Amino acid sequence: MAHGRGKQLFREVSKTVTQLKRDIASAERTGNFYTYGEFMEWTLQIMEEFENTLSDSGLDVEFWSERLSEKIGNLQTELETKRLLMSDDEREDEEDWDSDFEDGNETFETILGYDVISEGECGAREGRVRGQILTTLEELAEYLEPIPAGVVRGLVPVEGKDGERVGYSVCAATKSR
Amino acid sequence: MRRDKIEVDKLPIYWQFERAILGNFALTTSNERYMLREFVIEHNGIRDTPSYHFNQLIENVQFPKKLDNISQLAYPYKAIPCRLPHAIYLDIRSAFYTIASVFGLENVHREGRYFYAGVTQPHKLFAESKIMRALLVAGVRQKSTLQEWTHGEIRTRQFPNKNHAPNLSRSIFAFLHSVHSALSKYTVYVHTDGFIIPVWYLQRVSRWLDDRSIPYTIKGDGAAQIFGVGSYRIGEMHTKLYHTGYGQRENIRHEFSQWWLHQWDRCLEIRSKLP
Repeated sequence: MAHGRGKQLFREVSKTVTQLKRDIASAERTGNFYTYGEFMEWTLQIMEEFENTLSDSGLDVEFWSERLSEKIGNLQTELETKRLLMSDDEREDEEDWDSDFEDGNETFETILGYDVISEGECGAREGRVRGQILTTLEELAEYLEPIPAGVVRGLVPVEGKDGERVGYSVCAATKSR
Repeated sequence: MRRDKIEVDKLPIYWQFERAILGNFALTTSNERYMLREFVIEHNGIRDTPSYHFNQLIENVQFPKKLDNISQLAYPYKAIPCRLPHAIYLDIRSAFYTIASVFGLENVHREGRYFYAGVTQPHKLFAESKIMRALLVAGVRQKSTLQEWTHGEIRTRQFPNKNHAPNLSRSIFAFLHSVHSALSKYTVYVHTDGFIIPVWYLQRVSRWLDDRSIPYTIKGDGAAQIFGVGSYRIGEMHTKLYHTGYGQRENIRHEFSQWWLHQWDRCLEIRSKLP
């Protein structure tokens, strides 16, 4: 019975999140861009309210909030991907939310929101390098689209003869047996 | 269980044993493994059947199992019954190996939408052995079958193939279809990777193949007569049946031909950059 109520609440909140995504996409079509930070803030608010409702109703907060964060994660990836496929000119006006960021003295590289990592690091993140070479941003975005955000551990550069980057391979979580 | 490996010219008769597994290249009993000498391949100091080496060489390849396409493809064929005073039989050199090397073993595709090249290239052993090359298509089917002689009867058993690679075999056949589609106005006979053209088209066809870096060899040359699929003669060369008229037949697929040729060019470029 309690599980049924949780499902109902989850359905309602899912609708809200999907609507939020639609609103953002529709606003972006008319040139009104929202930042990644704004989107995060809204989704966190939704999450918080959802968790409070669950807690008040005496439902399994951990179980349902995990499902919601997975859904939100997928939507974030989808939005990021769409944006990265826009032309460079369009992107210049936006907040720098996808480029390299610095943490202390180290610089981490990210593409489409995923860390660029070495093959060794992929193993350390309990991942396995998939055997496909993705050479363009479009290819990467299309490849990553159906994969749940939590599965991707990072992107491993594929280097050519002269050490230049030919493309990337996806580091994905190994299946638990 | 370790079995004694015995190389033989002819496989023993299975009903001599209480239990035996019959393969194309070997017969395995509870204590011995009889292998046909003519098919035995030596690699890394191990002499065994092509299937054994195939399993070893692709053990660590993670083949994508999902196929985002409508169906698998059959090998391309075409036959226009005719007589030609002078024709040439060309074939794409080590076709399955060449195509798999360019596209990569783990390639994933959805026609007209995307093609992701695979990282791994087939081992050199595939280039050296025709049977090994054939396994790049025949050894990656969804189901494996074996024939088992047990309790006085012979049974065929099917089981899932751990090397199932639908994208690999499909990309090989799809590319062959696209080559034959592009050359269809010149060819009178096509079978998998081989085709017959009138000699006056040789220059055009060879230029087309050279431009796309598709390696080929001339296998036959001379007066030709095409009867049907798997039935022709050219110069000194002829098929076992070369007088039976089967008529005109063709299954060359023309859809996505240009798309596949584009993927070929793209993958060649990627390969040229890789070490």
